[in-house]
Amino acid sequence: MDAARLLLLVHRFALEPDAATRQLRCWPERPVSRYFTPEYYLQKLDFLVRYPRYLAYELTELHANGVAAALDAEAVKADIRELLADEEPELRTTPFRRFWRGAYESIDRVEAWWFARGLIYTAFERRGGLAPTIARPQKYFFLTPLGETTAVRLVSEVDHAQWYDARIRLIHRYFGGMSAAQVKSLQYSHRPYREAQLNELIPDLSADDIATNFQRVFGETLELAAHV
Amino acid sequence: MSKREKRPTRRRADAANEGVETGVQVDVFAPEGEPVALDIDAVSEEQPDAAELPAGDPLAVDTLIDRVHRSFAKGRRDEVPLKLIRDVVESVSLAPQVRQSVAPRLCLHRLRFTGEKRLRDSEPQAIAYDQSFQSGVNVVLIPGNLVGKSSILKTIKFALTGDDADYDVDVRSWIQKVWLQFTLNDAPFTVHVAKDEGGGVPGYVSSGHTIADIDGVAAPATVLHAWRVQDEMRARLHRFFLDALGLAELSWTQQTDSGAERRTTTWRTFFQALAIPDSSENYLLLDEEHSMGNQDGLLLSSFLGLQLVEPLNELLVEGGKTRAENRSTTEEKKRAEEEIKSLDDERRQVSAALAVIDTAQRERRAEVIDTPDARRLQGLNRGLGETLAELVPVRVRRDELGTEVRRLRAQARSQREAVALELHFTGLEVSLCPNCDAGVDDAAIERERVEHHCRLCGNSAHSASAEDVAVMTERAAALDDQAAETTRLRDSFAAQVRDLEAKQQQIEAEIVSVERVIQRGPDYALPTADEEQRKAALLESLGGIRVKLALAHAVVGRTSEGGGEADLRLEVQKKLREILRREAERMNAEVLEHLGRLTTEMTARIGAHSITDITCSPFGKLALSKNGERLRSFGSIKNPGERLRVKLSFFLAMMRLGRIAGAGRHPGFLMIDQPGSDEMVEEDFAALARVLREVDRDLADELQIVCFTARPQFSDAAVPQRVYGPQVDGRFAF
Repeated sequence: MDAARLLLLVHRFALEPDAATRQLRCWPERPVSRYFTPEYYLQKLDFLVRYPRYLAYELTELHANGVAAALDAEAVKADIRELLADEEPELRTTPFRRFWRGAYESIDRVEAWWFARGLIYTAFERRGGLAPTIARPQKYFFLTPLGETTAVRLVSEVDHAQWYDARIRLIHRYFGGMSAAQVKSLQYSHRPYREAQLNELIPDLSADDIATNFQRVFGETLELAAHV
Repeated sequence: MSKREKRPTRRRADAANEGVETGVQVDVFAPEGEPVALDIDAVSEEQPDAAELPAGDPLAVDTLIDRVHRSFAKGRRDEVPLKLIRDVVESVSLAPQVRQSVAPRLCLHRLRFTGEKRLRDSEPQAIAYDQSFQSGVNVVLIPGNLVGKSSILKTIKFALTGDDADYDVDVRSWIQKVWLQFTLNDAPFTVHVAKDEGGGVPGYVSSGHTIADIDGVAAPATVLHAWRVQDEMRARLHRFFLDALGLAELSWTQQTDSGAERRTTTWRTFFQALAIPDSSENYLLLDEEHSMGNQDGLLLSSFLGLQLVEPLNELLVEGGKTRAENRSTTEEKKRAEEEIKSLDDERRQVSAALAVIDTAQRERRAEVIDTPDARRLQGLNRGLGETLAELVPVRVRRDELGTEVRRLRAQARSQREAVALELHFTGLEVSLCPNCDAGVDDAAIERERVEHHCRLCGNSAHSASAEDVAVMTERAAALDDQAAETTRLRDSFAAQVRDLEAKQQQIEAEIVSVERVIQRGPDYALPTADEEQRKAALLESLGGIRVKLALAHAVVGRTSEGGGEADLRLEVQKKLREILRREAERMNAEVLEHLGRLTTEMTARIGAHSITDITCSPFGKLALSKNGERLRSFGSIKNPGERLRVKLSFFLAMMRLGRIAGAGRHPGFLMIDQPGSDEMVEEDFAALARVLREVDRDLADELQIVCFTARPQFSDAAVPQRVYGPQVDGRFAF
């Protein structure tokens, strides 16, 4: 499930390579179509997929902060209400573990699964050129043409994948214009996220947190179902 | 002293003069002139037989104890502790004063004072008065009024006593420095006093005659006493003269707001026996202000040198105090009993007020609890409580089940998601080795298909993915079933919750309705804030009343216990005083005989022939008879001239008695201001002058009398060299 979900994320957020990117030392010899980097960006995007309440809270904050993608209040409110409807948070919340820099889980097995099936190749590019450096190398995810078609076919043939695709599209609509660092900093603004202990599951936000913030930003009551 | 026959009892003395007891021989004047005669037999209950009196020193402590004890009736002697009698006897000083010598004689030698006289409409004039005096009669003769004669007397009095109250205000401010040189038994002394800018009156008493200022005393060792302020001056002079003249500080009691207080006779009071002020013919020795507490009697007793004056006076003072304390104890008890009555009334009122509040609250509670509507409201409230108690756990269980349902459904969804993805990815061939980054060759693929060995790692590869899917699908279905079951259970609890909430709302609505009907809720029965406040105040007040009651009861209990002992002590004191009075009569008989003789002689010489008898009790109470008839008081002598003559006779007799060894203690000094009132006829005035001249002739070496007069006839009272005139402008004294 993780491999499918993350494949869809990479598929939605991968970029077309430019001339400079093609010059990367880690650029694969095999055919690739697009690329995605860095790894923590993938982890943060996955966090938003797996915590609908955090996603609802962040949409409210995007509108409150006047981010271009979230200027339409009505659209934002509608998306938030849909996020919180139909028991979705309880059904769709998949706990994430906290690592040094926030939500992080090892995806080595997922990468191996992708690689074995020729869907996504991962490689590390040393930072700073040839000069010696202590900076950690940056991970690149190279999406292959097979990976592209597999992702498209996955969405068209599997209902569960359609749900993920719709969620990832929503995330892409609001957060696609932000850098990886900006997305990461949003999550750190929440105390439960920030104070989660190392290797513990990050606690979810409460329904009251979302409703109170919604009331504060939009001046409206957020009707929550009993389960929210 | 003439003897008197025994007189029948008239009445007892009042409490203030109870010590003024005369016996068989002498009648008594009370200060107000009420004659009081006491028969000693009427005072004690039973007289001891003469044969029973112990021999030896009648003033020995053990003898007195025995005599006092025997003076009680036989039937009562066991009730009187000997220890109490010993306490009373030992509390008085009984050592007889054996005076072998003549009393020290006071004689003025020189008066000098300086200052500045300030009269309106004239320039200030420097004052430099300087006058010498001699033994015998001296006359300061300055015709006219307001010329300073009396001021000289007042200055002498100020120098000798520290008392300047007699000055006119303006004169007091004029006089700045005073020196008075005098002798006591020919030993020279000087009193000097000055006034400083701060209102102090620094001064000294030194041996020797000097006119040195304070800082200029030649030999500081000669300074016997020194002072800086007036109070200290009075105290130092008091001590100096009492010691020099051998006078005892006699005590008397004065009733004040805080009870009986002990006072001692001051030198300033003694000094009144050394001066006859102007217009003082209305009293013999002390004016009304100073005669309280039998001070005149005490004075007289001291100057006459009567024996046992001090112990008799001490017993009088202690008796007065005990009586006053007893009275105050009785009064205290009465006040405590009245307070108890008042506090009991107050307590009843407070309790009644508390009862009113309690009754009102009780009635309100009854209204709320006991009516049908109230009972119904009670039932509804009870039902509401029960419903809520039932609702809460059901609600909690419902919520728990709801959470469980969501968890199961999430798990089921996850299983189905895994199944779907598993199925979808089954078609994806593994073509690359993540470890080698190399493609998988066809032989490995064939081997996997035939031998079921993984094309990558060579391990056995299971081809049971369809079974896995089936298991996961089955698991998902099971989870769904479980979720459905849990949902049903949750829904049943939810239904219970709905029912209970509906019931709660119904009861609450009914409560509102019933409360509206009875127009008050349970709060009506509760105490109001005002009631609580009032009740607290009343309870606090009740507590305070109880404390006061306890204290008052304690006073009553204490005074009831202590009253008996005080009465017995009083009785012992009275009996001891009687015994000592008899002894004093015996011991003082000779002195009093002298006094009577001298006084009679002086009255005859002065011309107060109508006074046929003057006697004195051991307590210093004088008795006069005129033409054989007892006089009620000195004031009963109507003629002022006669009063002056009697007074003068008495003073002269006192002064002469002091010149007899072992007799009186008067220092033989007297000042007379303006002798003779305006009413005195010329012949009497001339006669008075002649008498003084005769006194001067006979007693100049023993006495000193200084007269201050404006009447030229009085120049005959002294030899010419002792008649002093004005020192300023031929008109003014200074």
